[in-house]
Amino acid sequence: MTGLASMRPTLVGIAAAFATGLVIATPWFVAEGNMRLMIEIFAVFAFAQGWNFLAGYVGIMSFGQQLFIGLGAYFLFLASNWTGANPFLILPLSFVFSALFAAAISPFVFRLRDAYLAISIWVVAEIVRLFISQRDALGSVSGLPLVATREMERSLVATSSFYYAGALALISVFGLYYLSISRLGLALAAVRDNEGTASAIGINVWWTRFFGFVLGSGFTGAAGAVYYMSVFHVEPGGAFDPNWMVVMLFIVIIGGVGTVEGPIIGTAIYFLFRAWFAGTGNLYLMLLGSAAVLVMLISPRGIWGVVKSKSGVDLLGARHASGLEAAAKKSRTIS
Amino acid sequence: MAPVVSVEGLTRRFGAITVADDLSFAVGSGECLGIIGPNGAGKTSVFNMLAGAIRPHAGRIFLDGRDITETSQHARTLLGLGRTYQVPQPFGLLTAFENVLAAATFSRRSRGEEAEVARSVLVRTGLAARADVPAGSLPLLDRKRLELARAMALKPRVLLLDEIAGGLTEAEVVQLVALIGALKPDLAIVWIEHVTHALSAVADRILAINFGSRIAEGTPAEVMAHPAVLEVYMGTVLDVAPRG
Ligand SMILES: Nc1ncnc2c1ncn2[C@@H]1O[C@H](COP(=O)(O)OP(=O)(O)O)[C@@H](O)[C@H]1O
Ligand SMILES: [Mg+2]
Repeated sequence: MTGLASMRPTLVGIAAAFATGLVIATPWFVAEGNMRLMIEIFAVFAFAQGWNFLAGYVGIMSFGQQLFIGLGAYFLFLASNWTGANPFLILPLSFVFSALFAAAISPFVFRLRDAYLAISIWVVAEIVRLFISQRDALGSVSGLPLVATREMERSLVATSSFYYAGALALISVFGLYYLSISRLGLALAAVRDNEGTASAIGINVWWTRFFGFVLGSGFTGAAGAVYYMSVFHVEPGGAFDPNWMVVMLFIVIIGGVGTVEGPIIGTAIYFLFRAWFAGTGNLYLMLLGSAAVLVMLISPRGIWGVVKSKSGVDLLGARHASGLEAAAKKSRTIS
Repeated sequence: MAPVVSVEGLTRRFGAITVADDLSFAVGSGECLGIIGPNGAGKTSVFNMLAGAIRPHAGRIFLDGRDITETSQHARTLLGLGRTYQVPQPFGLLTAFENVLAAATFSRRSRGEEAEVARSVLVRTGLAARADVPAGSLPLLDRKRLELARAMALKPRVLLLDEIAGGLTEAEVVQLVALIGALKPDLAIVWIEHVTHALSAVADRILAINFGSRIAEGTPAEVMAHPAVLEVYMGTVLDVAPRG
């Protein structure tokens, strides 16, 4: 048991290598149409994992993460259209831009707590959406096309987008796992659980929260850029749509907040629901809502939370095993 | 010998309540100062000021002769201050081991051997068998043990203990006294405690406060026999007895 626990980072590493190989091989086996669906699934999964990271690992509840989806997408479109640069090359800058924007608003939103903080980021999202909607240079309400991809070869665009989306998904699983067991992950968890005690053991709480917020929001920005790059068009009403927030909440709550595995389950359920019921209009939204409420009533820690506590299986949890309990049990049976 | 930690003229009010009224004391390495006083006297508030969780309205706080009155809480920990909370404040979702590991890691005084330090502290505080249980689901007594374990894992130079003996059995009190006695030679300890026989066994001096001001100070025997202390404690006993 202890042996397995201490080997876990290595086992996860093997799984990560295998998954990376799978992503790299996919374009050779999967038709372009299916690849498009996979890009969408991976990007939405990354949105959800970005929010899960903030809510479950950093302890920042934000109801405005659509802000960063939109910012990442708009940065990519504008930077590429204005400079003529290849969007695939400048995409990582969407992470940087969104992260910088998060850093810039932190001093203001961090003055607020809990629900006020959550809403304040939503307010910022609405302000940015209105700002863009009223400026022709930014495409106003009808949005922007991605000019550079028009001259590129279709299959190259699809493959490149898929690799970026695959990278997002891999980071959402394995990056989050390794981050959570790292020194930074431990500091974030401490701040999440008890800010006063975190200070008392030498953690700079403000900077730790700041770093978590900037990292998570930057990641969401990169995911937003990938999502809209793959559809070649962005408009403020879609990119800054609060419904993105509903999707993230649904996926994370139903799967299990604060776990790597939960949003994987949540994303699968979300896309299955969509495939089966999307044609049913309002009924579909009511189904999503009822499913989330049902799961919350049964287990506030989501489906994976139940599975984990019932089965004792913990694949990607941020656990540091002490190695003490086994030793303590052994000495007890001897004496 | 120069004191490790000292306060001069510490004063703080919460509205009409005075929790520290021109308090001064100093504690050297290898020394233990006990603090007693009735509930609400301001003992925990003094710790909150020492640790940097709240600011005094007047007075200075020194660590190794350096004025830390304006120093932030986490920076004081890095300078060597470690505290326990009277009401346990663990990282609830983290295991006992992770709680202590975090303390060993972020106090930066156990570089390269954080896990070993965390394990040894858990063994010494009797938490080894509970090491991998989330702290939030530990019973109260274990959460109190975890307070001491976490503070020890900081490897502090000044250890602030806030009522850690309450609720222990007599045998456990004996163990606790032995543990703190073993820590004492390398640290300056300030210990707030109602279990006065435990405190008297370790403390070199005791400071008695009421309404934030000093009512007596001296050796444990002197303070326990001091008329002002007897009056306050008899008073509380008489206040409480008819209700109980
Ligand atoms: N943050 C605070 N805000 C307002 N009042 C406080 C605060 N902290 C302590 N007090 C009050 O100060 C008084 C002293 O509290 P405390 O220092 O906890 O006493 P003790 O530890 O001696 O029992 C109590 O009346 C308490 O209610
Ligand atoms: Mg107290």
